[in-house]
Amino acid sequence: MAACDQLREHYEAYAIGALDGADRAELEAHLARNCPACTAGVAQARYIVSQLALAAPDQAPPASLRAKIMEAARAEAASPQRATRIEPVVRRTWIPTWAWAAAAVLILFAAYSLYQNVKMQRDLNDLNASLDNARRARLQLDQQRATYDKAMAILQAQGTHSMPVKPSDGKMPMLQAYIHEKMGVVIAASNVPMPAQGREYQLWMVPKTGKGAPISAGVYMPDSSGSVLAVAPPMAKMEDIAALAVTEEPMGGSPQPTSRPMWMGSLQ
Amino acid sequence: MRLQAHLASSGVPISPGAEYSFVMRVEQIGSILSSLLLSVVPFRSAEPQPTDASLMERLVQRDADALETLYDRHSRAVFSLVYRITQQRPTAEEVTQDIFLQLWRNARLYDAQRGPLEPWLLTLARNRALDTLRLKREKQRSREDDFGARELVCSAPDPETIADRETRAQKVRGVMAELPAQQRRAIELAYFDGMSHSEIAEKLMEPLGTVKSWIRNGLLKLRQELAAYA
Repeated sequence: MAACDQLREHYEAYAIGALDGADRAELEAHLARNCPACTAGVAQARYIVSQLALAAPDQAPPASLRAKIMEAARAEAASPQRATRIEPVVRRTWIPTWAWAAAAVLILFAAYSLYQNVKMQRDLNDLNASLDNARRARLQLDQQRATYDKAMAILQAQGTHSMPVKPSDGKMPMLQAYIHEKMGVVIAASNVPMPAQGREYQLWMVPKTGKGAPISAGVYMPDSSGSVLAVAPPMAKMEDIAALAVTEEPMGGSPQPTSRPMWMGSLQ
Repeated sequence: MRLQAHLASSGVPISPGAEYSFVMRVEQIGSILSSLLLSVVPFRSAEPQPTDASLMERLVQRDADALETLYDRHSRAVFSLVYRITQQRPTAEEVTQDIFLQLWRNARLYDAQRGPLEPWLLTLARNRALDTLRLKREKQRSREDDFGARELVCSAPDPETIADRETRAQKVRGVMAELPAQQRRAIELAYFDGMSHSEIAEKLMEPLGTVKSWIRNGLLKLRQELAAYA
């Protein structure tokens, strides 16, 4: 503050703009630091200096100047565009209320559209899934129907003979086989339990001794009620086949049986 | 109608169509009462003048009428000062127009907290006028005399101590007239010509210290005479 006491004598000279050199620099440094004593002192001196303006000889500005200024100002007041160019900070206030309302409506509409879109997409996905299921079900039905048709054809054909295929486990039901020399073999049964998890039944045609290894005749699963209806084409000359056998194999079947036959039936 | 004519001639503002209005507003009744008084007692002003601060607020709201009032109130002082500095009428008109249109466009930048309008406006006018002179010293001076600049901050004396402009003008001229010619000249060179201590000393061929004390003492005398910051 001692420095401020020395600077006090410069307030008037600084306010009038006559102070130069080191004194000016020092006072300006104080003002830049918002020194309260110097800031207040200079502001007071500046007021006194401003009053020197009244010592100027009185001169009336021309009336045309007033008209010119007011014309320009009123033109600017009438066209907010010019005003906003000068005062960009104020521009925000020029957004009219209806624009806010319109923006709100647009946002609501966009949100609703988005919601609708998502909902429709979800519905569409559901619909596609249902269609796929239906398609799959129909395919399954077609397959079942084809199997059934083929089975009926074999059962009704001349020269078809039937034979039992006996279970190795007495608790298991008996399978019935229908054999036609040319058309193939039908296996039918009911109350067949499901194979173990991840496994399915595989039908084998077992050739007579010396005529080769067992031949796969397809894999089968009982339906939900335990019924089995399987049709296998003749995999070899039926006269060379000694027996039919069913094993439990991994899903998709095996090239050769990997377990003991659960059912076995000899052809006469 | 006779009453209306009487009121109009006595200077009471009467809105057009007031004579058709059945409901007379309280202010109008007040105006009539005061005008009746006016006819008997000499009366200074029937209605209070809006303050500079309130006019500046209206300016921010793009009220051109407020600018008109401010112009009528301050343009003469501004123009006289600017003309004294520039010594050319076209330049003085240009600077004055510039100042009032900037006031209109940037009213929101004026901060009433940083001082009353009149000294602020006069300080701004002086800076702008000196700018047009393109003094050699121009570059040394800070030219940031924009509306928010601290260079324009004038501390407001107690409003009750501020006399009207004519009274103050008489006091300022009185103080200046009483000063010795060289001292008065030094202050004029500083204020109207924007010269520094050393420039004035050189021009007047006086010692620098003398010039410094002339200017300071002159301004302190003025301060005393204006009775500001007692």
